[in-house]
Amino acid sequence: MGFKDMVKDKVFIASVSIIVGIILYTFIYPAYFTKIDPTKWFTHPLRIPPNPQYLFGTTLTGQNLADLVPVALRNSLMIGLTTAITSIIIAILLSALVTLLRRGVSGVMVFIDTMCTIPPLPVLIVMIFTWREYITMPTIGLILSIFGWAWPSRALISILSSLKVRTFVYTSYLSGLPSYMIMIKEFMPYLIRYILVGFINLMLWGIGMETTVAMFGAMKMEIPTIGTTLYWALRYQAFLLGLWWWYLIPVAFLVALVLPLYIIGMKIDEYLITA
Amino acid sequence: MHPLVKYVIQRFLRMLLTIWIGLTLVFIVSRIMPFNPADNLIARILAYGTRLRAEEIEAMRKTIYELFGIGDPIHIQYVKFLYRYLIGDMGPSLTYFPAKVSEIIASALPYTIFLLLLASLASWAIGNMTGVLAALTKRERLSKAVEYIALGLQPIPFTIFALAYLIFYVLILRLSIPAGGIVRGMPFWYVLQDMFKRSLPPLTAIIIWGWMGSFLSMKNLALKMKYEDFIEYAKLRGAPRRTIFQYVARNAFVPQYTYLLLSLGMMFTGNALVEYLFSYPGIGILFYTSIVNADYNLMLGIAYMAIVGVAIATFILDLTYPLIDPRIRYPGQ
Repeated sequence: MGFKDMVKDKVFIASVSIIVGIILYTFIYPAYFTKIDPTKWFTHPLRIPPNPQYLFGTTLTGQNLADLVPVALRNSLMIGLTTAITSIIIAILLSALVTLLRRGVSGVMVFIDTMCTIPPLPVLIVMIFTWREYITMPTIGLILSIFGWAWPSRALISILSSLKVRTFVYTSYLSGLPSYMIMIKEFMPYLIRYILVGFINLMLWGIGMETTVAMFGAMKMEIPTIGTTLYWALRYQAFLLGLWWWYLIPVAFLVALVLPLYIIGMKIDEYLITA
Repeated sequence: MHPLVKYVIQRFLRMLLTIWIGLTLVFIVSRIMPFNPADNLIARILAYGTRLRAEEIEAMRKTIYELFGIGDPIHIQYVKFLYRYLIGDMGPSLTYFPAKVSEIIASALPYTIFLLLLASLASWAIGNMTGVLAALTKRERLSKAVEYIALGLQPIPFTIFALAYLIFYVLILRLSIPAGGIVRGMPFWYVLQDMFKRSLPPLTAIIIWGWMGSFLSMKNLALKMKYEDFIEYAKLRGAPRRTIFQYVARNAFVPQYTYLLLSLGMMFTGNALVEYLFSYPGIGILFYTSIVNADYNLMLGIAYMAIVGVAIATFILDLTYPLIDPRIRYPGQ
């Protein structure tokens, strides 16, 4: 599949436009159309089902979901992005260092394996819970990347070590190609694919992790994210009271954000594997 | 030394390393808290309305500071912390005062390890079986359909699914979630039976979601394996489909099992969440209690014991690894 085919692919176009639409909704709408701070409680009438005035209805905590959802999505997206960026940078630097130094691979691998085995949730919950007074969305992303870097590093190191002993790399090396050119010309085409896919997977992992931590109530609960919105819906028994819009609409938006991201990742992967 | 003994020792050391790194992480987390948990505890004890004289408060403060190990230089704090946690002395819980954190967790930990092992093994086995079947079957449309469903559902966070499953289970199927605390003082088989009964709703939640990851990677592996020389040879010599299935599955199991061992820590996340959602008396629900009550002692203890629990579960699975991978039983042959 060529680049043009990828860009013309209907599923790809649909995914990109959904993501662009959601990003516009989360960044433009709260900035220009929201009149009342959506994080404030009891600013709207309670438990109104979706209607023309309140497009997504209101919650039992008196928040307008049409105002709340974009802010929550933006925060979740921010967490996912920061996690992905920091983790992937750590993974790239570490794997490049280990491969270039040509030693300590097994030691680093043992450490990475250990980090993979340590369950991230408890440590993350304690950290985010104790720091929740001072925390901002990018900080949560940074905290999540304490654990996020391990899996991509593992993948990158094994790819790099297998690439290093390939014949074409030796050929370039013996022909006198400088090492940075080998890095760019021989390694990058293979790595780019894993980096991009790893990036999107990390983002999904970050968003999912944030939702889980928030479900335990360990977040800054007054800051709306998808997780905290669901937490309050659960606490206020929205499921039993039949307030379906309170939990279904945020979830629908989250799925509408996550699925196209994943599809884009797959399409890029398909393109790079053939290129 | 027999290679198997060497392997077991190696894995045991790996488990100790995991626990040590986990402990160090917990230590760092406990020391970079933006407030002093010891002062917090004193403030809370005073807020209960107890009337104490000034010198009594001072004595209590001293005791609690000693308990938390604050006041020493940082490296001595670290050594003391390691020692105390390793012998299981994690101080009292604030919620269940004066019960010890270690006792509270010790009764919940078997439940968590049971669910974690059962859920991860079951979803792994189902995913791998269906993966091989999907790669080798002649009904390609069906296997493609299953693959697309798995691909489409996989990126959605497990939290969302667990919530949806809870609503489905309780509101649509109208099934009840078994309630009650941890069983104590009963024979082992009775406890095991109770664990299994209690674990059914969270277990099904994890399995319904968990098989997809191993299904997808197994299908990819098996598809690659299908064109290996030894499979081609088996086909040419007229081996029955069963044999080919066995060849592919047996060879693809090894990397999949490694993946299972490494992913236990990640699986713990989903595990803790369903424990809390389906009120299964494991560590997850304990964690929730500790968060609601801002019980830092219990929280740190749980973080540590969760790491220990996963390390033990990984070690148990590690011991079965030689059964899967003959290269460990007969190295260098």
